[in-house]
Amino acid sequence: MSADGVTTATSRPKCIPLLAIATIALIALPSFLSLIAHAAGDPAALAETWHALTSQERLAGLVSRSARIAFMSALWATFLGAPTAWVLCRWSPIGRRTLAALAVLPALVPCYILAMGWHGILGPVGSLRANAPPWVPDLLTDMPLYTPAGVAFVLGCCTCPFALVAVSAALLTTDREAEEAACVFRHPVIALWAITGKPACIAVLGGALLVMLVCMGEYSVPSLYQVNVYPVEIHMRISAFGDVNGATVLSLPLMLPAAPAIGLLLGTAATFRRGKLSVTPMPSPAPWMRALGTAWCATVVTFALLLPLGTLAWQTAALHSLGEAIRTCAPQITYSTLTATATATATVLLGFLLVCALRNAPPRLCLGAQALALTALLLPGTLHGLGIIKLWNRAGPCGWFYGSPAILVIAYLGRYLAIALIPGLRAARNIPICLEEAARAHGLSTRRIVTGVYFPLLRRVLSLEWLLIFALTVAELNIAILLAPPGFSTLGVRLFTLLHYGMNTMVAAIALVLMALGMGPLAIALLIDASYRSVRHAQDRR
Amino acid sequence: MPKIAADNLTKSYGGAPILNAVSFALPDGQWSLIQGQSGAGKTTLIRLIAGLERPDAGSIRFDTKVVSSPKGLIPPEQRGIGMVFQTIALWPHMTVEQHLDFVLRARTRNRKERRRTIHKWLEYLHLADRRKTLPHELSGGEKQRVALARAMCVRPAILLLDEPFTGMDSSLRTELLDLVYTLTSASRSTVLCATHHPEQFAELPTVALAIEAGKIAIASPPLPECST
Amino acid sequence: MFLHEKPQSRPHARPHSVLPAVLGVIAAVFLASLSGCSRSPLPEVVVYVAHDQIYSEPILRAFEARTGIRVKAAYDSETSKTTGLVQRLIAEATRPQADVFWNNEHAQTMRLREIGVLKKYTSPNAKTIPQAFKCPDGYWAGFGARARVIIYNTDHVSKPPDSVFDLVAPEWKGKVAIALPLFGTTATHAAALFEQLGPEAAKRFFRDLRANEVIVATGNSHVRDLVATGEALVGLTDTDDANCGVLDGKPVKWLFPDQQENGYGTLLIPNTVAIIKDGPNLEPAKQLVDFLLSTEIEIELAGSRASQIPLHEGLEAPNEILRLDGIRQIPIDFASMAARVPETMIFIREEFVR
Repeated sequence: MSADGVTTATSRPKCIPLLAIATIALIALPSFLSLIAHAAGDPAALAETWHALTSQERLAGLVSRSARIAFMSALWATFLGAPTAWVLCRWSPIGRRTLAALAVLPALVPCYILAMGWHGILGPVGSLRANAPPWVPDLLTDMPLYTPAGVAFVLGCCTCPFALVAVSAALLTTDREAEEAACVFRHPVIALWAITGKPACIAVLGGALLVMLVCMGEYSVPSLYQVNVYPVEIHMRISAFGDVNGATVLSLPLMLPAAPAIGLLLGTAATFRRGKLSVTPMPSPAPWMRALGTAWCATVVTFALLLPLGTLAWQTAALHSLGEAIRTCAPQITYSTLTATATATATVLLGFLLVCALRNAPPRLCLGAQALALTALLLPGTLHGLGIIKLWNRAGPCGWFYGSPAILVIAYLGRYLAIALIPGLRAARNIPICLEEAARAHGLSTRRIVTGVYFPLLRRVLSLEWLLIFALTVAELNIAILLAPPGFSTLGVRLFTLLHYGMNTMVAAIALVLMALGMGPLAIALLIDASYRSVRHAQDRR
Repeated sequence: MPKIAADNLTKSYGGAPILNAVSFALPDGQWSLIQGQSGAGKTTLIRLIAGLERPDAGSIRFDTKVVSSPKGLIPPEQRGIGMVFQTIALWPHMTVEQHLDFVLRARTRNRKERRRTIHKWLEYLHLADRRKTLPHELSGGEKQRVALARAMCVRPAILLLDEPFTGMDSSLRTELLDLVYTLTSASRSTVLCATHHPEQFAELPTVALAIEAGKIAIASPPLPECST
Repeated sequence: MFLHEKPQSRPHARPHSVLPAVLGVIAAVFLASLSGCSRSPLPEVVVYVAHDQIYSEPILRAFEARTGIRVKAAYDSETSKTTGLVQRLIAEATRPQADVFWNNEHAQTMRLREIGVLKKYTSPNAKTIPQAFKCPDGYWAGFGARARVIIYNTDHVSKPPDSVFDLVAPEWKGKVAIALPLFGTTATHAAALFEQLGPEAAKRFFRDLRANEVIVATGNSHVRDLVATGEALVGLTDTDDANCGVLDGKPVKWLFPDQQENGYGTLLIPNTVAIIKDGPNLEPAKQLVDFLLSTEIEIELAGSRASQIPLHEGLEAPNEILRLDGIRQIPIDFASMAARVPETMIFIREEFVR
């Protein structure tokens, strides 16, 4: 159905959405399937591995611990993110745009970098422990970081942007006029709950579920804090025991329950499919709301971002350390930037084409496509890398790419395709179908409609996708170790190589450089956007 | 030779028939009105003729060529039509000028020619001072005029109008209707206009099709090829 | 006037755009530049290096300068947390990308030998390396060894333990640091203890360590740092990490454990180098292996901050370097020690990774 209630045209070939799904499957699934095929090559051994693994009590304990950490992380992330979303959307705090940008930034910073920062504050020789003033309560200085609770604390800080974005999406697409109409007849709190309560609750649950999914598969922070969780066990099975088949088998329980959870999440997101951003301006909030809201947002931003990064900056000690880090890692910075740029561009372009192909597809087909794309994202990076080796390291055209930097781009394309597909598809399905029909009715070809109608309307979403994929690729480690050709080392690998020697000034400096590299394009984009807005504002005034 | 003809055209949504074996023929170069209550199927018929929907049964012909049938459909962009949508459907990221330029680029690469055409159509529809304006900054009437300009600037052989004057005050409506009628008559375009206010077109020589309960009745004047 | 122009029954033929073709050409050029289509005309050798990059990279650069053979190196990262180069070599076995594997220990090299990833090559420079430190069949050779040593904080410890087994004593409760014995040289040390003491005695030792609240660090360097800051007072690490602490002026010293007359001895873990079977550049690989096994490189590694112990017999070198004959070694066969690795790892994982 189109936005105006009329059934869409059926004149387009039905095979296009199927072709799109086939493309997604071809890109996202082969690495995983090759591992499965390899493991299934010896069914007796596979059964024995499965039995050996599942009969171990410690594995059940690890699953339970991972789930507990994920749950606690989700609670903490929701506690930080949900009220922040409300404040930013409804209470108009001072410096709203800046606070919003800072609140979302932790999603772009690798978790292990923020974890390194917290190690410097609350670690065994952290600055808070060593230098805490007397008025800081012992509860804080003695808080153990190298525990499941510590891991949950840090992961919650890192993932609070997911909760924030989910709740913000619900609040921004609520019918404000309906709220105001309800406020005419009932108390504002009751009116708000009646109109906004349900979508907000769904968004809170959806955000928490997303955080849980991310934290269940997160391994860098628990590994750094020496807390053994299920993903760490999977990696250990490969690195300590060389048991790729066992690791593949172990990763299945991580992925299979995620599938219905993702379906639920996507279905939840679909309820906001028809939502449009409300253009009704916010009424001015009371001064106390602004003050309280500003204080709350500043606190969240401090916890989630400024404290850990500030500690890293303090550990770097001096600007010359940063300069030395840049000088010694110049080749890695170059390689990381090139790879991330190529990956982000290729993934976003392909994602956009797939979005155009799926834009009018039935909802279930779209859900299926998104779930397929998410498979590669859920698979542990190490397994994804090993699957890529099995697929591409062979004579012929495949071999041309393997052993060159292009193989990294290929691997990341499969891994991050979900990020390029899902937000774009949601945005595209929010575009009224009549816009495409108007273009077609006036003789415009499909190519012109894609470039002239869809691309400009989806520009913002595509830009955000590009920035996110760029930041993730720059910091990615597990795949880079396996696939980066000799002589082509990335900055994340370099960081972890030096981390082997313990946290020191150079490690802190490289961590900051890595973070700056990931966030650099976002900062540039925000500056350009801000200057464009001010120019436009000045023009409108004239 | 009728310009647009339909033979036993049938269309259903979710099992409920909207159009039930309707047949009609519309003359070339004239205005035809489709009138009926809300939900009678006016928009559906317009969309079928535009090629945005596929009929469940029957066929639609332009001159002698079958353009729509259950088995085949010529895409809208190849039918040489212009259309004003009920929802107006302006592209939110394009200015008024860019709307016209966008559709004209499918016709010609000559920039000067396009500019000339755009300038003339904006003058005709009193939009010259709004050429750099985005849709969300336009009033309802201005949006309708942009949609009209967009549909007509490509000189379509067939112009489909779905409630084109909704939300306009009477003086603007009258002025615009006269203008559109003059322009389409001069270019001898065949115009099909869906409306549930036929009285607005009372002074124009038109053929009227009335849709009710999935059936069509031709009002005046009757044509030899038509059947009810 | 355009009003009287005839209406268009069909749109004009759509004008073609060159943009897609241009984009396609750009993409093709980009992919071609990224892909391996264009290979370097200069001779090159691809080496996977598990040895610390800060020590290995200068040596590889020296080889490049001397021979003109371009060296493309892939370095390992924090070995305890990632798959590492060994898995990459196994995964690439059907179509190797590497020519040489330079490992910082021998157990994984022996594992690669078992799987069939290595190519037999006996370097002429390996003749004076003792048989205990090279593969009997000639698949790999050891050089520049490290020793497992006890490091202690000089500010707080006046009488350090002189045996690994003293670390379970009550006086060191909560004050001993070791790296996780599941990876690297600590794992090798654990396997050596399993072979030397027998499984039951070794398990008892590690359980006593856990009961003594041993601090498990992320790596040998981390052990050194913990001891240097006083967070731990003694630790078990390698000679290169310990020596770096001393050279950096930290309040640490180190000693070879179990050097008494009837002591168990100190474990020596050599660097190992091997040629990968079916690697793309065999001759340059041989030259690199010969270079790494030369006495010149051994002396350089010995004189560096790594303070590696030369294995070549009869080596003439400065007096200040460590010597093999000055160290009482654990009398152990590498092959039998390697055979202990699986059961050792299973036990260590159960005991230390919870």
